[in-house]
Amino acid sequence: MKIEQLSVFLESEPGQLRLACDVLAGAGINIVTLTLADSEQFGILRLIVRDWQKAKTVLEQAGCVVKVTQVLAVEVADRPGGLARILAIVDRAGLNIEYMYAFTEKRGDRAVLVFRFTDPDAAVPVLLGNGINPVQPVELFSGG
Amino acid sequence: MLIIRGVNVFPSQIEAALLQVEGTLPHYQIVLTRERDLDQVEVQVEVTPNVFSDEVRVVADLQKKIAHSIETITGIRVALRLVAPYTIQRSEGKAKRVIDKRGG
Repeated sequence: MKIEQLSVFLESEPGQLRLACDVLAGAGINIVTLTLADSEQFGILRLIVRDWQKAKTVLEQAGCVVKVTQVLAVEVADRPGGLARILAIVDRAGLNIEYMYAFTEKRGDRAVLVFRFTDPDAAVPVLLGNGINPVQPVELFSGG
Repeated sequence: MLIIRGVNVFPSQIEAALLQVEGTLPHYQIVLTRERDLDQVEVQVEVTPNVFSDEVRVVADLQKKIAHSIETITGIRVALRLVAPYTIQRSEGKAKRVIDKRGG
């Protein structure tokens, strides 16, 4: 359920996102999913890749600032109400979400939700206890 | 020493402000320009792994804290810009601290 996410600092300038992606491409690293947070002055690229250690190394070698964060990945049915059901559970438990994003799996009818909780360790038992299916790294990365 | 809007400012004051917030001294650069006869100051600070976060709020807070610390120490308000590592030019190992584009 716990997955390592890489965050990369980007200046708010044209070409910054490409630079980071070029580095990963050059190292043969496929991006499983990503999200880009932006503010007026800077951006934060958040990435999930299979080999995060290698990705971190090559990004740092290219001069990027990289932070590793544990996020939680769970799966839901890819249909109306999938996310809403999880959020109801999260809400009831009083868990705070810093941010989240989602993507659909290539195969099947499931969507993967990625959560960054303020307190991931408190969130794990709540999600598991409510019958939410965790997504293990091995499943997430099986497609390459 | 720099004279900014008639106030004497020492780069060491900027360094003290950065140290106060970050604990260690990041690479930085002071860029001075003049707009409508008024000095403008932009302090560019390289982001380090120590202070970087995956949360926008935390990074934005850092930016505010540094700007506030500089204003408290020097008495002048600056625009604070976080930049990527190694983007500030180094000369002989030391960065060129001040870029004065004010002319005359």
